[in-house]
Amino acid sequence: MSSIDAYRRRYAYGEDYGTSDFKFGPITLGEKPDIIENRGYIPDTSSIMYKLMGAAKKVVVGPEIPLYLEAREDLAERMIYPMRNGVIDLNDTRAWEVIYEITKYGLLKYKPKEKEFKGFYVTAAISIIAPRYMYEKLFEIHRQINEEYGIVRAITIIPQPLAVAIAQKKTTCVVLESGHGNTQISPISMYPIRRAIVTLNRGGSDANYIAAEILRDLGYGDLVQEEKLVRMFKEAVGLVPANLDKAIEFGKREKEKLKTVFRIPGTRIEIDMGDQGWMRFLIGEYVFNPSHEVYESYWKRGMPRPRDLKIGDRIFYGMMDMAEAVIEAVQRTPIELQPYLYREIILSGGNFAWKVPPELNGIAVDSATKMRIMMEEKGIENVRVSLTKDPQYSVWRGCIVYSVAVPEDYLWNWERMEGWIILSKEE
Amino acid sequence: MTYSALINTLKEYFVKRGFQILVREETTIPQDLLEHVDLLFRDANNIIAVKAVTDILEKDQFLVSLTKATVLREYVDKVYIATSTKYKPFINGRLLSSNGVGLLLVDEEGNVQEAIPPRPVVRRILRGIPKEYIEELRSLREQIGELRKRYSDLVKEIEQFREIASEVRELHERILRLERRFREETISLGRIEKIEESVEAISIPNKEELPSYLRDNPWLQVLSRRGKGR
Repeated sequence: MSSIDAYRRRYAYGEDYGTSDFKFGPITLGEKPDIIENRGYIPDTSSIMYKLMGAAKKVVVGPEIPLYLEAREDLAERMIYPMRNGVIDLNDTRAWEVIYEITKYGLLKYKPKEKEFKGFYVTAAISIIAPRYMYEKLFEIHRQINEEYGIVRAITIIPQPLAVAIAQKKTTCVVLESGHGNTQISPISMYPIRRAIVTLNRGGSDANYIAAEILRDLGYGDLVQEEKLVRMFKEAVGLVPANLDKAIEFGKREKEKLKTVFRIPGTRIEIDMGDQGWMRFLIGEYVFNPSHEVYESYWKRGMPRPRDLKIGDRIFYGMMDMAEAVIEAVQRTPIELQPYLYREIILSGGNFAWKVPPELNGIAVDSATKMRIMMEEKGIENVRVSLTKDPQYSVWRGCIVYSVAVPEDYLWNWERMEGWIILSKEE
Repeated sequence: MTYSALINTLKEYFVKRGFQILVREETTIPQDLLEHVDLLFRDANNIIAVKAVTDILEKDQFLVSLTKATVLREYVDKVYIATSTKYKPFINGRLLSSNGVGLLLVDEEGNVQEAIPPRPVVRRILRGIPKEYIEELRSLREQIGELRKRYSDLVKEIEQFREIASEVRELHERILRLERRFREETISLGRIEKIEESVEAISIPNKEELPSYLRDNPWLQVLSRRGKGR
């Protein structure tokens, strides 16, 4: 540990630009970062509150947002979630303004008072599919904040899966990051192997679609317009089957064991699944393998089918099953490396958080077990799959380790997409 | 010589010498081997088995008897083959000696001659040791094994304590050195208060303890080598 630079032991700083939350803060926070929602509110300049607050802010972020909120129809338009899909449009000025504000909010909140402080070593983490202009924009934002407040000594940006691998202490692994809209499969061996990344055009939102269809089938079609309600239903009742056919057979035979009544918290609404409890398995399976014939009838009824999508030079596969995607990614790496990659598969992100009720043990499984089963079915053995510990914090933790360890003279290079950009010289 | 004449002569011979006749059930010889035993005697703690052979027409017949007698040695202390003196030419004495089986020759007048003495079976002596002694030996052996294991565990623990003690001593010395240096520098600069202030200002919660994700993280080494040759 003696190699840890004493300055960075105090002033390493991490930023995780997640789709829903922005996790940030210096190393001195210990195990958990500070968290605010990754969103900003553009206040109505004619509002009373805006006038009362001194009309100083164009964009409001962090815990102040509720002070400005008004019950207006244009609320949705004024509330900006800049990273909903992990990528921000180059010309989305309002989204970039929000990013500037949340970045500044975090850095100023933890600006140290010590005289020896010459700026943070900031490592920011963004989606591995983020285009180059996002890197340039983020560097520019930090440069601007440093010019105004002298708070950033050096900045670097790393892909989120690399940060996950660092936090999990695995130097050779495959990280599966499954978020709201897509799933990224990133092989890592000391460095992220960018040419081997496979992206699926499938994420938590697709599981919401099948959950909504199930609600319709159960006679609760009127509720499916409420996205939050559908998500809560999905999270409460969804199950991942070890084998879908066997699980459905079990569910139809042992109806009592799958009987579910879902109560929406804070309301009087109850969703009774009756004898249709077996449908719970359809939700979890869809995340891992949507190509099962059981889903055919839902697509025929108009449920959006995950499609292949081409963004830039990257194809986002729609229907590829999760194990196939891992194999596809690993096969793009050198042959000698492949067995080591299969040995450490890390599942990260909310889309892998599925419960296993004890009475359904063996029929329903957790995501790690499901992946292992699927890999074995494809003839890949000696597979070790794990779920990230503290998934909410792991990217930020990886950023802190990166800030602490990477030498200061390792400067940013666009070809290798790594290294520091030094913003303020040592005095 | 008839079978019964041979048996009676042998009984008389052994009884005269103070041997006690045993019935088959008094021994531990397996059932399938009992048919190859004609007489059983006890001499103190020794059990003696005798196979009476009334006629030896071929050499093979003698060999069959010898083989069975050899197997019997597993269960008794001494084994004899007894036969009429007239069959002496058919008998291979060296074979008997090498297998530890004794030979008794009986003539028409009822005289018995111990032509080859049997070799006592050594392991039979062990069988004579009372069971409780064996049990006690076994338990003592287990206790010794247990004690040996505990002893080696203790030796290991002592080694570890020694290492820890030496590390503690080293740390103690380093603290003393740092304390001395800190005092000297403070005094030489003549601004004790100011230094105390600055120490206060950089204090970090749990400063001595690294967060769990930094402890034993192999990435620290991997990342610190960035730029030093890929």
